[in-house]
Amino acid sequence: MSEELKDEVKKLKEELANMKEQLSELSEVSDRLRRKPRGFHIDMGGKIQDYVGDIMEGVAEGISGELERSVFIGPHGVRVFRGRREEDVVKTDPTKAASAMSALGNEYRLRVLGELVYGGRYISELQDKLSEITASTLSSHLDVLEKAGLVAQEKVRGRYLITIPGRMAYKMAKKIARLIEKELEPE
Amino acid sequence: MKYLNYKLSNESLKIVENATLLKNERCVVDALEGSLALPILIDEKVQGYVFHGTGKLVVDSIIETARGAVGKPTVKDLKHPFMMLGGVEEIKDDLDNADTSDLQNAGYESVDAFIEQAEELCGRLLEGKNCHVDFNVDFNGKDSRLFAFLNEEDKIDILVSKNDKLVYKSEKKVYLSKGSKSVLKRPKEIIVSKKGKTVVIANNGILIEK
Repeated sequence: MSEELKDEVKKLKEELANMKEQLSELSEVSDRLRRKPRGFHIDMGGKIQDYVGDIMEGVAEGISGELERSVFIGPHGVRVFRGRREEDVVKTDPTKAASAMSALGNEYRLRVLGELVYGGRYISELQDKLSEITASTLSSHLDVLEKAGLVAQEKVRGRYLITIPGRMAYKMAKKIARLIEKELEPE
Repeated sequence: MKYLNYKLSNESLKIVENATLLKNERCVVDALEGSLALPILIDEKVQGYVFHGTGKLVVDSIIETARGAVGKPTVKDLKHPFMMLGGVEEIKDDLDNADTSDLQNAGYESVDAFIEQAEELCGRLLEGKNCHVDFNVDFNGKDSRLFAFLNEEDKIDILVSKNDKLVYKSEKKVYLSKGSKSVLKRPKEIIVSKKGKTVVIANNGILIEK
């Protein structure tokens, strides 16, 4: 083999080695691209390990029975709740919470709140809107709402007004109903 | 202006039929049958009364905001002496002379004991001895009234009403109302509302809603 040919074979071998190296790099990039998550991007800042650790801890707590209270994955990203949620539960008087929820647990009481959202109403005006129930039944529903702090009655004029907690509770009830309805829709 | 030239009548009266001393869209003051009344004379004319017996005060100290109503109505039984300036003409038909048994029913041995109690209340308000209130209101108008209620803590609660204007001040609450404007001051927050616009000033910040 001539010296010229030997040089040519050497160059080809080097080029082949170079191409193999490039192919390996391309393969790694391709793998990274394939692994990149779709749907949403979370900016986790610098301490990625801590963040992942927090999430895993949350998931572990969830697996032990309270997943939905520990990690929420929604369209705006991931929210991890640790510890504070427990405090909230302890601080909130369950009796008061149950009283508020119980006051909401009636179709007519929700309809009363729905009317009061548009402004103060006299009992006669509410009676017109809820004509299928008697005046005494309506009155007892209003008492329940008033005791729960969801409505207030003006003692002089007699008008019923929705309170700030009442408005929030009504919106929350509607939102929950919509979410449940959506969840129960056949896929 | 302070009413320093007042004096109390020594003729005690009683309410013969349940009487409404003030009633408007925001508040009601009732004095029930059997309550004692002592006329207050200012410039030698009867301008008001000190009452003692049973009665009721109701003030709708509620503010309506875009987020919902704030506050609760004030409902108080009036068991302690209270003073009213104004509204003299409206109540005179509901009054008659009180006798010894009427005074005893209210817990007084004699008319002097009732006068002494009434002087204490008027002194605190009208002379500004313990309760520094200056007022310059025309109480001759039909709907103008000033009330001073002695409360459970031996402090004075004030209610002033003139046409659609109302001011109520107690130990824990101040409520002002004029037409569509209202102000409620409670411990830790002040709420101002005018035609659906609300400003809340609280310990943790100021909220303005339009």
